[in-house]
Amino acid sequence: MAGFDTASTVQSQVPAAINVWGAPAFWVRYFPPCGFTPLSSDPVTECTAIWNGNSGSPHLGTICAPAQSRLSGSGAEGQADAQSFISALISTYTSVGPLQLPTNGTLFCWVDQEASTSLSLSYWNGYANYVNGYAYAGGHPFHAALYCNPFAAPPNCSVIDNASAAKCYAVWSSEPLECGNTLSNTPAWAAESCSGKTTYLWQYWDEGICYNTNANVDLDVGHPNTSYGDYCFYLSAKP
Amino acid sequence: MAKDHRAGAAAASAARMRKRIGKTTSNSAGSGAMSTPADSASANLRLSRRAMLAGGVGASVLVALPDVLVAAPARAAVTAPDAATAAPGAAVPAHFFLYGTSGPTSPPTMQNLRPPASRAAAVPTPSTVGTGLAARPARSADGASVAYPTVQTGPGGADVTLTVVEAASGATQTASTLRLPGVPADASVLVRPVFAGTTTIAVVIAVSEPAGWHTFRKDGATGAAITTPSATWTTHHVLAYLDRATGKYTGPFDLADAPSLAWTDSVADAENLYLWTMREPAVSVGTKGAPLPTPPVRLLTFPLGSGRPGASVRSAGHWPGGGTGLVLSTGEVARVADGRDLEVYSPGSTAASRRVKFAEFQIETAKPGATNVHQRPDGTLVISNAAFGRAVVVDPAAGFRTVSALEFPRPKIALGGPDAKTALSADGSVLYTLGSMAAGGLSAYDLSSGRLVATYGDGSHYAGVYQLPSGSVLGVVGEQTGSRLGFFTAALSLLGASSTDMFVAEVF
Repeated sequence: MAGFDTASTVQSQVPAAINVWGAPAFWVRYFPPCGFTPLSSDPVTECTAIWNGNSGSPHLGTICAPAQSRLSGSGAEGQADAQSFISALISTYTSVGPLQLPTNGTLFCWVDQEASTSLSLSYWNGYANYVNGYAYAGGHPFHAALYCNPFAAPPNCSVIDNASAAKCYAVWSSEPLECGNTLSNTPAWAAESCSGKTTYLWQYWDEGICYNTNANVDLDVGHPNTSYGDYCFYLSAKP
Repeated sequence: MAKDHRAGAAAASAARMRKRIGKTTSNSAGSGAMSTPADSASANLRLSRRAMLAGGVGASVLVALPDVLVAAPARAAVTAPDAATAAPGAAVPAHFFLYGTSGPTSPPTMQNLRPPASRAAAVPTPSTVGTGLAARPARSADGASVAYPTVQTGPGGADVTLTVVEAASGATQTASTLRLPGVPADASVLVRPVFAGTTTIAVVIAVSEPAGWHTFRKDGATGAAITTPSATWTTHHVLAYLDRATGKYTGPFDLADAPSLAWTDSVADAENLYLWTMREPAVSVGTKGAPLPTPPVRLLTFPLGSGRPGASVRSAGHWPGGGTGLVLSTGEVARVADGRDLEVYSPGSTAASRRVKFAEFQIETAKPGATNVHQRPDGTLVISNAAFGRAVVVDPAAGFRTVSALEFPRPKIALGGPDAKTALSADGSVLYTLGSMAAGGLSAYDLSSGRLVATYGDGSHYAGVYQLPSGSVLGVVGEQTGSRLGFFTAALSLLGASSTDMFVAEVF
């Protein structure tokens, strides 16, 4: 199962990205806190574009991207970021009628840690404890997860391996890049990982590095033994 | 157009190799003890929660560093070096401050100074001025002071301490504690200092209080279920104002605005504190079956010293996220919106703020990038976005007309690490950027002509760039065991480089 992630709006990439790569099985989009247009600013339009792009697999993954210097910060900062993220997810969920929570009760809530960013244990625990403990819709559907470059030089996913770290349910690895592949011809699974954590998603194509297409999307593939779409919002009908 | 500078497919293989920097072996998080809550021990739950929120493990650190590579012996009044851009003869601060997380050793150290042979500089000696910061520091508009908060919670409430450090001496000017009675020991306290004119620091405090602690067994995608603590958190805000001369607070003022988002955006002038705030959407948008509109963002104007807003208008911007706004030369206040626009408000107006868009930034990108705004001495602004590879000079006094625009190669690190992806010379004429994705290094552009006027390359991909008050340029590189600092003249000639075992997140 392969799909797109993008900092652009979905409607700005449909049909351009699909014309280049084909229909994605999922989109991963940004939510607050982030320093650019989040999906939650116009969720109906974006979700409609997801449906129009591939009504056979209308899945929406979720990531937030705080100012990266903040990830070195305190537990209170991590918790505040998580509060904004969860609020944006709930706001989106309630405002888009056909948008559904995952049937398995597990929505991966990625926080973006870029390769050059240091993550403090205090920040991670503030973030992950809030996300993991949040009660909603009769359960606890939100699961803390980390986008990272596992082998990057500064402290990266070593923090979530710490014995004192709150649970990280999944890793999304940005490495290695396999620039020769496509959406329909995904690479053999070789995503980097953090010890003790399962890598569920692999960003194998970085548009900024790999090529110059007309599509402003990166390409991602889920772990072969899982279906990443199962850990996303999905649309039961056109919004 | 955003892709003009992208590496081609032929460079992909090399790029892949460049991204694999090396296996991490250090761990800034340390090995502090935090107990796993027992299923039924609510007391232990609270203790654990408190320990987690207080930091202590991998806690933030603020370090003062003398600018020894350019400073004369009388550091409090050094003059700018040749080719630097500080006003000749001007007194400039002799210290700058590294904010980040400590590495394997504490306090952080500096090593391996590599100055040019013509300079006989000593290794700069860092001094730790603060640890366990409750949030990132703030710097005064003139760069003369940096303020950082710490928080101590206990049975009787929370103590918020604001420490102000002078850049001239690197020493503490004042450290004043504000008592917040009634704040529970397991609350999360988020503090943001906001410099207001030359005499006041407004302190914006978000207090998040838990209720109904319990545990449950949380299933993951794989593996055993985990005992997980849970509580219902409710946030309200408190304001206070520190008089820098006396060290006394006015306040605290409880805004009684629960349930709110903890994050605010803020800026202050000599008369008012401007605060972007929002009711917490998660508990305000109703249910799936009966949805309610997302609450609007409000922009509140508080006269300094007051806990009651003199004005409250609807914001044209996005959700507050801990950002710091600007006071413009026109007297208006502004903040960045969606990484590409400005939200502008005229103080005293009862009309909503407005969104100002710039045609040069209305482009799409797969990857996000950091946006930086610099104010020039003539009142114009330089706005840059590293993911776009663009900068514009706009004039607030002329309806935000674009005075000039600049395109530069997109850097490899457009978002990660420090948020400062561009820096402006003191006279506002030169913009420093991170070097290209292919070559790295640093670049300098003349903003009036758009011409590339200087470059430096050593194969390194810098993550942040700053202009120090003395006029020199500082580049920050992330390395396996800490950060490397490169010092340059205004013309990007290398003055020296040194490494530290702390991981630098920002420079003040």
